[in-house]
Amino acid sequence: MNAVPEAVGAPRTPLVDLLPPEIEMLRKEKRAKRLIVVVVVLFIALLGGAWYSVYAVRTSVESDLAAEQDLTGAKQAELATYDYIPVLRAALDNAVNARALAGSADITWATQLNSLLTAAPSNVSLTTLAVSAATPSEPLLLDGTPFQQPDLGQLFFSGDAASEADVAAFQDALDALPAFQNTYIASITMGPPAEGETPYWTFTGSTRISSNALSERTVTEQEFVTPSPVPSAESEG
Amino acid sequence: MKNASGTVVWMLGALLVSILVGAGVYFLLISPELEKTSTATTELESARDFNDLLDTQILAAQTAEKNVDDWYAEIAAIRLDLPPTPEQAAFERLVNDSLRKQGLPTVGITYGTPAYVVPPAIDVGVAVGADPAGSTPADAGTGVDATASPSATAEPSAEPVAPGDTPAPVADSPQVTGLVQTPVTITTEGKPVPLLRFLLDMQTQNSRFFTVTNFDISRSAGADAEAARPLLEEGDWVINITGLVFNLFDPELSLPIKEPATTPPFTGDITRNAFVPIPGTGNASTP
Repeated sequence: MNAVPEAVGAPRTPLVDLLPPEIEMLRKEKRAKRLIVVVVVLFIALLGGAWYSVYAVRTSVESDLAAEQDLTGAKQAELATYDYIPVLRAALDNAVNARALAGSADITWATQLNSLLTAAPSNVSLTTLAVSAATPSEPLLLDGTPFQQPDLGQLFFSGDAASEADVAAFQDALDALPAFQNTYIASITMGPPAEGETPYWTFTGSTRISSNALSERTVTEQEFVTPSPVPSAESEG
Repeated sequence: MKNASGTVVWMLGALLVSILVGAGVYFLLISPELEKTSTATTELESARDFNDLLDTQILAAQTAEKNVDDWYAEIAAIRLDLPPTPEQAAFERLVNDSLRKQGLPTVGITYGTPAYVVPPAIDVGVAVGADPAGSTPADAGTGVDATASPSATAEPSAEPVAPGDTPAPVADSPQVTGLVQTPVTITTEGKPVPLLRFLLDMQTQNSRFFTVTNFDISRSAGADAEAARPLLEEGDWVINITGLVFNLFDPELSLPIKEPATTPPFTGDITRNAFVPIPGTGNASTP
């Protein structure tokens, strides 16, 4: 068979598909199978990628967690350096409360006695004064009468008066003072008569100490002391 | 047709394999990772929250630390009033100095046994509130927590307490531990003004807290001056003052450990006989 001359311009390869359809089908099937394999491989690769991304996230989170836990340790160590502060604060609170408790029934007696002596009428002369006052352990006292009110204790007194009216005046004077209340006269007795002497009456009684008498000095700053009135000259003698 | 069905079989097989592999990878690899990630994320959030809390606590501690010097100073100031040890000798000097300053004799000082102060079960404020007079000395701007004072916590009330009623417990007193009280009775005599000045001095000095709980004053009938006892005129006072001094027990300070030391041995030399009466005293003249 002679070759086709160049001048004819015939194509170099046959233009008619002479392959049998079975061959073409086999080729298509091969391509399909290859495609399936590729898809499965891609799917597996995708699964691997998904696993890796989750793994990466997990390791990242665990790394962050480890860093945060290290930070926790450091912060706890830093906080531990301040452990003394609550202990110190508790000691301070206890000390402040202790001082407040110690002074919870404190009365500045110089001031209160001075006011009592100043208020006493001139015709009254005291012979005894005695105080039984509240204490930090027992800051409230009651007198046991129907007129009782919680108070800070009792001041007993006895003395002489030029008249019974002076005793009543003394009683009123005591009740008028801020620090005393419920003054109670227990007895008024005419003094022993003596020839040529002025008659007088002896009396005994008591008064209750009100909360106005509290000095409250333990609720002030330690360094600060409230200036208290100095006893006046009237009370002397 | 045979070829088409073969492809379908391949597809079905690939699908099956994919499902199996996918399920295996998910359940064996991805799911555990997700669980671990979830757990770690939760722990991370907790750790961050905890760290935030620690930051807040550190900040609060740093803020509080700025006050530490003031706290130490205040505790030290309170220890002047409520020392951790009895410091009885110092108190004796305080009383004697105060008496001497007023020209008063120390007729006698007796001490009771130290005992812990048991805080009252009721609020002292009840008494303040029940007082019809109501007012108590103002205490503005003291700088100290006013709630520390039992009397400062009460709401003033004009309602009288019913006869026979005991004050209802309204609140516990501030928790105080280690407060020790020692009763002291001081006996002296003299004129009212020096005695009142002595009382004032004892109750306002800053060396040691002293509160008077009892006293009795009796009128003197007059007495001649004696050694260390000035003349007493009629109307002068003889006074017994009973009060309390306090200690605040501190386990670290209240039980000091004595340094080890040895007493010098007796060498046979004569030592001072402390039983010899003081010359010039009444005891010295006793045969």
